Amino acid sequence: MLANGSALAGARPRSAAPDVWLWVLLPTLAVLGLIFGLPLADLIAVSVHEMTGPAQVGDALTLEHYRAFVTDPFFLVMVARTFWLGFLVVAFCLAIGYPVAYYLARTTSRWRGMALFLVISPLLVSAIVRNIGWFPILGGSGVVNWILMSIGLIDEPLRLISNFTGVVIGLVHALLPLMILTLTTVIQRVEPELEEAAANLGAGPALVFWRVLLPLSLPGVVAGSLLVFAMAISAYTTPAILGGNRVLVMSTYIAQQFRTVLDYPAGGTAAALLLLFAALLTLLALRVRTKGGEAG
Amino acid sequence: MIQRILGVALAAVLLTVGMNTANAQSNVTLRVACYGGSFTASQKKYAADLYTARTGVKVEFIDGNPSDHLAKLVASRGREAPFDLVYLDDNVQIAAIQAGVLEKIRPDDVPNMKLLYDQAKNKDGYGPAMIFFSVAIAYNVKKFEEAGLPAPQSWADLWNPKLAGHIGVPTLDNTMGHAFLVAAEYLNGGNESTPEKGIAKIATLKAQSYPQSSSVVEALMTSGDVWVIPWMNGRTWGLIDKGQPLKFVIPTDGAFAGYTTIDVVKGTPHEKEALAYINYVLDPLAQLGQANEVPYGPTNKVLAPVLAAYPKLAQKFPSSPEDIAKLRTIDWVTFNKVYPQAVSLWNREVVSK
Amino acid sequence: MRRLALPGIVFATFIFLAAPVLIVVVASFNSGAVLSFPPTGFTTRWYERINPLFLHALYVSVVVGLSTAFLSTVSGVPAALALARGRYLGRDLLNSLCLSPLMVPALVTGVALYQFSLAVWDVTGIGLGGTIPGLVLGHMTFGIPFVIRAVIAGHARFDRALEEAARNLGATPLETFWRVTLPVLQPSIVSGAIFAFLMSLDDVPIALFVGGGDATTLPVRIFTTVEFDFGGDIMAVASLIVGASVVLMLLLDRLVGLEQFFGSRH
Repeated sequence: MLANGSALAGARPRSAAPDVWLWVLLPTLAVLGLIFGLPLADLIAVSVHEMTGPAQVGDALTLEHYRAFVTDPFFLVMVARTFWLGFLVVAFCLAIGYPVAYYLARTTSRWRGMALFLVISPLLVSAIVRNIGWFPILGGSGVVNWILMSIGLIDEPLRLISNFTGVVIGLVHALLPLMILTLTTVIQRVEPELEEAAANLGAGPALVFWRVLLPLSLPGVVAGSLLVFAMAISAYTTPAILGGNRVLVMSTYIAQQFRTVLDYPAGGTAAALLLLFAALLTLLALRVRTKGGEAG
Repeated sequence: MIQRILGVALAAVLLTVGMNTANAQSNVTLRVACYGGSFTASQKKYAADLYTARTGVKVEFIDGNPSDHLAKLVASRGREAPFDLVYLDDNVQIAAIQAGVLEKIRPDDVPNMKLLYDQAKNKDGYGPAMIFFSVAIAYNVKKFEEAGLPAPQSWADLWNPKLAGHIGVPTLDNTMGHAFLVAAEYLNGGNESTPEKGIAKIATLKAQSYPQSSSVVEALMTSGDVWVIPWMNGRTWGLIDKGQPLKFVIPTDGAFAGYTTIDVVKGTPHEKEALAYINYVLDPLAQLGQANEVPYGPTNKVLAPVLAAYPKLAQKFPSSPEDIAKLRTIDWVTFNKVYPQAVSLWNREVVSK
Repeated sequence: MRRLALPGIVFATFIFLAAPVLIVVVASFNSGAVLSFPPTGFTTRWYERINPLFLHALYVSVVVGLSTAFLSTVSGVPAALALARGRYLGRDLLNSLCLSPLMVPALVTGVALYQFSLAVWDVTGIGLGGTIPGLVLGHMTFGIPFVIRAVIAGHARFDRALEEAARNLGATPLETFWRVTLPVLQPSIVSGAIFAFLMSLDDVPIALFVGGGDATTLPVRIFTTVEFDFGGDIMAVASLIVGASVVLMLLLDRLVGLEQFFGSRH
């Protein structure tokens, strides 16, 4: 079975095909540049100015905000906390999402369509309402604590909300659909015969997973992880509500600067740095993957 | 009973409008930036709709937080204003005046201004306050009873060690948070210019949660995670009216005054219509209607005797000249000046983990 | 035991996913304090009292969502193919760039877009703030990356031999694209479009700054309302959306078979 047709591509005459694709990409790049790139550049330009009043900036250029940010351990801890949150959320989404995606990809049940719908159902409820719906579940006298105390596992209610734990739970819940859906569409393109063949050759399920399934579904794993990571580090509503405004991550800090202090340079600086760090991380992840030889 | 009076009054007004439709034509649409939810709904019902019926000027509400509105105003300086009128929190109005995005009010065009309490008038001639509210202590009566705790009577009572882990503190970002910071500053021997004293005091509370909106407070109170929180009268009474076992208590060292102003945006092409709208907002009918629905204290003193006759309604907000005089006011100019510093300290010392 | 592990995890996950949704639906029928659990009584009054503003906002949200999904798909699919198949300098960088809008908090994008819309107005006289087209453009900033991501992932095991075969049988490049490439990529395209739609339906920050007035979406309406009080009618609206989606899905399943959208499994 051909992995990506590269063997066949080699047999084709070397035409100007690669350049053509660049032209195909251009219109979309232009659109994104216009609706995202330009506005963002405009806003980030603000970050090299001084704040002279709420939502106002002076004309003088300064790198003071950047210097203050990267030399202050408080901010660096905030960045670390943000990325840690992202990694945790990705890890849980993968750990939970992969088995579910595998099941959905392989099942022959006629309820598969509805199950896929169930997977995206959390996203149908508006973020704010969804987050408020967690309080009766995760609160001190909520469902989870009630169950755990009734069966005697704990004596004191666990603190599951208005803290970092609550944020992780909320984000995993909201982003799991993305991971599952991405993984399902990729896994279902992996021929089950491959797994059967490996099993017939004597490989146990763990080995089949490690040596056959995972490598072949890796693009989906990376794609899903990048998506979930990006959304987790830029999420605002969930960390604010489920974190009880006690969990300071980049997005809640930026929101605070943009919406209440109205210090655009400070907010713009944080946004620019967040984008920079996250983009570097993404580039790294993509490089690591393409070393494996998969396309895209 | 108040409902009946309001209903009759509204009907009477609309009836007179119906009999005088000659003036009800206009191409103008006033864009008004407001808060949203029940606040916008009551303004629409008791002021905007009547205004439209009487003059034909249409009113369109744009909802959001005052700081978002301010941000838009500042961004649009020198260009067409994004809206004509704006409702602003007390401290945001000060910032807006400093940013130069508001227009002064011509008192002759807003006759109802003469009927306002002195505390409601802006001394520099900008938009007046259209409601008063108070920031005090909201607590869950049942939880306090179960824990054998006496009802909180002063701000200092919040630091009772038995409340640790069960107290909520409003996030610094909203009005209640501002007022509580000032309360903490004074308790710690400081004032509006010394946020570090207030922050240090608040940090010792180790609050459960720092909610921003009433919905989260409701969720926290219902789930029992929070038993007591400094909050504002209108929203607390909203919860009490819904059946929550809460009480709103005015501390012995005084509740804090808050107010919402209605302002004209600089550069609006419809200044005349905007001023006429403000007159409707300050009208006794609109003021009474809003007080009944939301409920916040009216700034029109004409209503004081009316409210005195309805104690069940009047208890929900500062309703008499005495109530209003007893509220502690905040020096917003100083507060705004040190606010970025306060936020920075808050992030570092109060917000944990 | 091992046989039960997988369905067990799946079942537990579905419970986890559905939990807040169920709470919201149950709360919408609660006659007592809306968020109390277990509920204290049954009522349908929240549904009867839904503010018409919410319904109009829902209409706006759906229009914006569908437009965003459509336009993002049209822009995103060719870009995804270009990123997946092309071999040119800086491809990885461009790939990262196309993902970058998702790494920036939507709030930042919203503020940036608002400021930018003012500049656009200065230059061209076109006002984008407070309009539905403005909202759609704003939502496309994340809609396009979603579609690109989903399609690139799905393209990974694309067998180019299929396209070769089609062309050898006489199909033009366009026919090949339409009859072979697209159908194979269909599940990924659909899932990308669904993400774009759902994220648009869920967005608050961008719609808060770019929308306004008549162009107010449902999440923004809810957001400004819950600052003040938390009416049961919000739960009712939220539940209605869930209910409507269920009905839609059942219908689609009946008529077309949801399988068609998500592609045949192996």
